Amino acid sequence: MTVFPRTDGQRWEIATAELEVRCRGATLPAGWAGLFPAFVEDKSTTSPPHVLLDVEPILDWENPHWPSPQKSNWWSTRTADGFHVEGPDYSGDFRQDGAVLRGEIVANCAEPSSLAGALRFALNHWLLGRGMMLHASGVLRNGLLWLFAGYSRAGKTTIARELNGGGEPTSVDRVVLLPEGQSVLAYPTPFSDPGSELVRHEPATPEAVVIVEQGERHALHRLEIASAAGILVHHSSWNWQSRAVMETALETAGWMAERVPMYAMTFSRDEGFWPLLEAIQGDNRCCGPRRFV
Amino acid sequence: MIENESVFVPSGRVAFRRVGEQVVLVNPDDNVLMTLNSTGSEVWEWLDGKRSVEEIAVALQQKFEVSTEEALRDVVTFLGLMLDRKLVERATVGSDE
Repeated sequence: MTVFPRTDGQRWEIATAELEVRCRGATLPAGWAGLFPAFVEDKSTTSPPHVLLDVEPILDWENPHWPSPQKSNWWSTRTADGFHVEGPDYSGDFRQDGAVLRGEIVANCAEPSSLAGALRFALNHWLLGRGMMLHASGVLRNGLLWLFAGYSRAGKTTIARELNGGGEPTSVDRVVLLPEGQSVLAYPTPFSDPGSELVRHEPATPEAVVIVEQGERHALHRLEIASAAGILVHHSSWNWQSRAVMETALETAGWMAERVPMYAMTFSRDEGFWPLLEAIQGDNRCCGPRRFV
Repeated sequence: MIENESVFVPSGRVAFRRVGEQVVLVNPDDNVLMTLNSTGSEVWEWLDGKRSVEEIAVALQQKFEVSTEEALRDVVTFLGLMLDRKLVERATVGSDE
């Protein structure tokens, strides 16, 4: 067992853990296993199929509930030896077993949103202390990865699709960001489209992150890095009332903002977004040939 | 009331990180995100549980070449805002924490 010191002198305990995601009444969609090194498909078990995920969660025992049931469609609560989580179509239990935290999440894998919710929960645990998940779509074009983040229906997937010549974006809706060496790698995830051909590109360092929203008029500006970090945290998939979670998100977002240029882009449906993308391309052209098309 | 000899520390619930020239704060209790300007960032990093409000004002006055009164007023205003948002808390004088 290791510890993670807090600035106030207290310590977070990090327990080695095993997490098992069990599918209820369905087979595991192709493409889920092997998505990340942490996922290991257990081929010894065929019914029910399940995915084993080694995680090292940082538990915030100060909060008996995170988030509150009133604020979210999922919640967790402390139990005698661990905690219990309830989602829209999944549930899970975690318990301390010596130095190991063991968890099991049961989900209806035939229902994409259930499976996605369960695995998002599992992956978020795995990401604690490592990185973060960003609400973004991306396209890998000419060897360069462009990420478009924003609220649902802001247009991020539409832009990524257009940028890819009408083809599907190379990552849809959620990407995982992991600091790697002196850079950061963006991994595609299947969370909005489980069961389809999921992994469309290798992990790549983003060329730029564009925060997208629709408005009356075109607007584009490059974000200061502190603002960029805050906006990345805002658009992360974290929604837990936990300082440890926020520290991880902030660390990753800060690391990313210090290394990858970020833009805020407002586009009107009438005028389209191409002029803005070309402006970003021009701004980014300082460091070599970087073209969308 | 914030007295000159008061000592503050960041709230134990707040996550923060310096990003470039500024400090970014996240309060997980209400999901409030805040980016401090350069002055606020300096003051934030002086909230070490040892320096009093007055000592922070003197440090601020030396760094930014403002009057002591102005620096003290800015520090008190800043800490008042931080207290209202539960982003800082009073340190126990004499504590090693």
